[in-house]
Amino acid sequence: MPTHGYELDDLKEQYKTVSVSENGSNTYVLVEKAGLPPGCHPKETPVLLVLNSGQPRPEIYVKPGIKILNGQDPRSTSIINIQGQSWMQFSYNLEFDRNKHSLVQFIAGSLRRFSKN
Amino acid sequence: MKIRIPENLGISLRKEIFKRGGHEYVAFALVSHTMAGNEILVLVKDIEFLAEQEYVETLYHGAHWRGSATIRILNRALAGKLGILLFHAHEYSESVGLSMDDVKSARELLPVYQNLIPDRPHGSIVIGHESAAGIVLLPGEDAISEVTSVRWLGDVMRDWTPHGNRKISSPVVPAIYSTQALLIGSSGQRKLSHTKVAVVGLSGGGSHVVQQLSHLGVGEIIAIDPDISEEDNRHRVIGMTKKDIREETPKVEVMRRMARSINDEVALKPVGHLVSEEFAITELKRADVVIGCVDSLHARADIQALCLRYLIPYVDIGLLIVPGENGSVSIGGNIITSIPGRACLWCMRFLSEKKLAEETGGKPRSYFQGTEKQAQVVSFNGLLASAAMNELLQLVTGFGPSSTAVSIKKFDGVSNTLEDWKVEPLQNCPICRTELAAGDPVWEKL
Repeated sequence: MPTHGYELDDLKEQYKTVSVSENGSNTYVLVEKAGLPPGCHPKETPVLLVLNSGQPRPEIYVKPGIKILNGQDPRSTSIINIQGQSWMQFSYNLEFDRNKHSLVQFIAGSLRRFSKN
Repeated sequence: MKIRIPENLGISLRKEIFKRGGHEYVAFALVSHTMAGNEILVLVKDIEFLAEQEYVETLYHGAHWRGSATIRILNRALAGKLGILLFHAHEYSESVGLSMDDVKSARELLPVYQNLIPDRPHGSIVIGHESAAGIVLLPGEDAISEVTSVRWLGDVMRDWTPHGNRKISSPVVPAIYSTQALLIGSSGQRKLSHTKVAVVGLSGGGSHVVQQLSHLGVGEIIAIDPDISEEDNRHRVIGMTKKDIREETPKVEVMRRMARSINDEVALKPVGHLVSEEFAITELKRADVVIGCVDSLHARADIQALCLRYLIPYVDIGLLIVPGENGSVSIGGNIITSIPGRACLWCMRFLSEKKLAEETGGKPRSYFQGTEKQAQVVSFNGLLASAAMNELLQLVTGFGPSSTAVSIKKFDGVSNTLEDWKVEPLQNCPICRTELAAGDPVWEKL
């Protein structure tokens, strides 16, 4: 399965249960449980990465239903269907260079966005 | 266990296996699958045929082919993580079934396929004269399941069952539908009464659709909308009352009440969720046809992706009223029927990445809070909804002449005309290529 130049081994080391699937030019990586910032409910979420050589960085999605520290829904999110399943797209601010940063860093950095609204 | 075949693949499949020659012809369908309600749907994604030189001449009846051909097909199935259905024909059989030889060879072959590709179904199917039967080995199971129907998608959906189109014992049409059946026939009425229709968006267009589906007597309406009743809906949402506004009744409940009051034989499943939410996706997968009455291109893209993935015909309606200066006005609408394997909204250039980006102002979709309020008038909503219901009637009952043309019905509210615009669909559409019959993904653990 094409990994589009990304290293997947450290994902498995960090998150234990990681699965992949492929459709067209995309490779989908499913991380069963990734930790959310303190105060979030639930404490962990499934994460979906969409890898594609044509994109500067992966797309990242989490399962809908996350409440942040103040008990509210995070802002600037949208629920969309990917591969026939429901995922939440969210805004985040992260510098990512695929030549320098790993996917583990990418997930951790993106999810840090749920520490605030 | 039901099989669905997109129009383009269905045409070539039938052509191949009904071919006449010195031997029987076979075709290998590469399939995905999903669970829809309590039913397994097997979805044909691609078809592999054998070249004449790949068949082996024998003295025995049937088709025999070289091992190298089997390896070629297995490699394709493995690469796409797809199951294999072997199709052949008993051309003249009105009631059809696998022969004892067919069953014997399937029982030998299917476990081999399952061993190599365990996450997908594999089966052997025989097609007769407007009839179909077969057996399938489902993922994780040792016992075989019987195929209950094969659905050929097209401008008319045709379900072939083991008993074909033999007359059912009670063709009596209930009095309520007696004049309707003069057009669609008793078999058309029976088909309607077994049809599940998902309606996405329950405002001006969607409420008219629910009303007409209730009158038509479909089997079930799956009504999808997360919103509650609001005062500025009341001028166009059929069935909505002042009390609903005061009590903030969910639109799905307004629709349930209306459907019940019109025809208590029609079940309505209220789904108060966005179409992209898990519960709504689960319910939508049960539908035979989806009617989209939504106001954003992004919602249309979501519905289209799901309908392609699970091989469900999708009828989309949309209206745009633009009041101009000096009393000028433009009122335009579309009714688009997307038949999987013929053309999708992307093939017809109704959706594009550029248009989606324009809708969100170039920002990511997570910043998109929906379209701005637009002019809406109940009479125009109703006209488009009625045209969509005619599309549904054609899909289910085939009351009109069949057509293979790709077209969009264009409504002009100023001249009050509805025209059929022929469309040259995009060749090699990237959305159809990836989404068509993709079914549920198969995950491979790292």
